[in-house]
Amino acid sequence: MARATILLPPCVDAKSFLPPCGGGLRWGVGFARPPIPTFPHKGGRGFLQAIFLVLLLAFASWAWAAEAQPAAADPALEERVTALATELRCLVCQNQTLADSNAPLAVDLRNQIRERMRAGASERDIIDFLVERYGDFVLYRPPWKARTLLLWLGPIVLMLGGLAALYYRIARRRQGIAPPQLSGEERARAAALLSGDAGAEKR
Amino acid sequence: MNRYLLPLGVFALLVVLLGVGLSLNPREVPSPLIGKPAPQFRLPQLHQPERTFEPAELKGKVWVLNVWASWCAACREEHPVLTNLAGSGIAPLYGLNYKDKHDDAIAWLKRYGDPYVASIVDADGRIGIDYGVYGVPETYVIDKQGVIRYKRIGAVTPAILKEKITPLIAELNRS
Repeated sequence: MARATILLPPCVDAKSFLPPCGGGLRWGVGFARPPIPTFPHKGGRGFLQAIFLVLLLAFASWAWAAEAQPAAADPALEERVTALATELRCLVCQNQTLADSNAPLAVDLRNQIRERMRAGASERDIIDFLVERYGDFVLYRPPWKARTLLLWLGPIVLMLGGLAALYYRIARRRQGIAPPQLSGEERARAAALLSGDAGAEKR
Repeated sequence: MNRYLLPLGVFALLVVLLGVGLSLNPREVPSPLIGKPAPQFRLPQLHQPERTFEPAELKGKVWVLNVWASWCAACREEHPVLTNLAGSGIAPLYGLNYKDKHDDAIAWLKRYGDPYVASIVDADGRIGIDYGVYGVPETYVIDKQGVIRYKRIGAVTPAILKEKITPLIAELNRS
C-alpha cells in the first residue's frame, strides 16, 4: 500500500549539470609547479610588466559580461510566464515551483502557460485552468475559502492564544506580589524608622 | 500537579496532530475531477493510428481508463492486476499511452501482454494534463454518463482492485 509509486521521470536539478566537486588541477600530478613570481626590479622590464598587470586589474571590471538574453522570442511574454510559474507548484517535485522544476510535466505545463498567454489568456484564466485539473494544490498561495480558513487564521489564532496566556500569567504574578498588609504595630515601627528616630528601634 | 497538566495536554495534542500528518501521503493530491465529466478528446489508437478514439463512444458503459507508459516501472508492477481486471470482463479497460515512443509502447505490450481494448496515444501529454495526470500510472473509473467516479494515482494493487474498483464498477453497472 505504502509503496512509493514510480512517478514521472525524476526531477532534474540544475545542480546536477555542474561538474562534480574536487576536480581541480593539482600541482605535482603531472603539472610542474610554476615558478614563484619575484618582485619586479624598479625600472626594468619587470616594472613595465607590473604596471601592465595593475592596469589590467584596474580595468578588469570593464569586461563584465552582459546579462544573458532570454532564449525566447518574446521576453515580455517569457517574463509573464515565469512570474506566473513561480506562483505554482510542480506536482512532481512538490517543493519546487513550476518555474524551478525541470520535471517533464513542469516543462509541459510551462509550455501550456506560454501557449495560452500567447492566445490572450489572462493569469486568472490560466490559474483556473490548472486548478480545474490539479486542484488548489498547485497554488502556492491557497485561496481564501471555508476549507482553508484554519490555514489562514491558524497562526493568528495561535498568536492571540499565546498573548492571552501571557497576559493571564502576568496578571496572576502581579496579584501574587501585591504589597503585604502591615499590622498597626509594624506600621508604627516603619514610621519610626523612616523618621530617623533610631532610638525607638534600639529600645 | 495542575501546572503539569496543561503542558502535557498541549504536548499530547501536538503528538496526535503530527502523527496524523505523518500518516498522510503528500504525493496523493485529491483530484478535483472526481464527480466531473471526463474531459473529451479525439486521439489515434496505438495499434491502428488511422483510427481514433473518443470517450463519447463509450457513453452508456462503465469503463476504466489507465494511463501508462513503457518507461514507467510501476506500470509493470500493476500490469498483472490490470490483466485480472480486463479478464474479469466487468468493464472495458482502455489505455492512455502517455508521452511514450510508439515502438517502445508496442514492444512493451508485446512483451507483457495487452490487457487493453485499445490504447490511445497521447504523445505530447496534452490529454494527460486535461485529466490532471502527474504520476504515471493513474487509473480512472468513468460511469455511464461519462463522469469520473474514481481516480487512483500510482499502481493499482490487488487490494485496491478487490476492495475499491471492483465494487464500484459493480455498483455503477447496476445503476
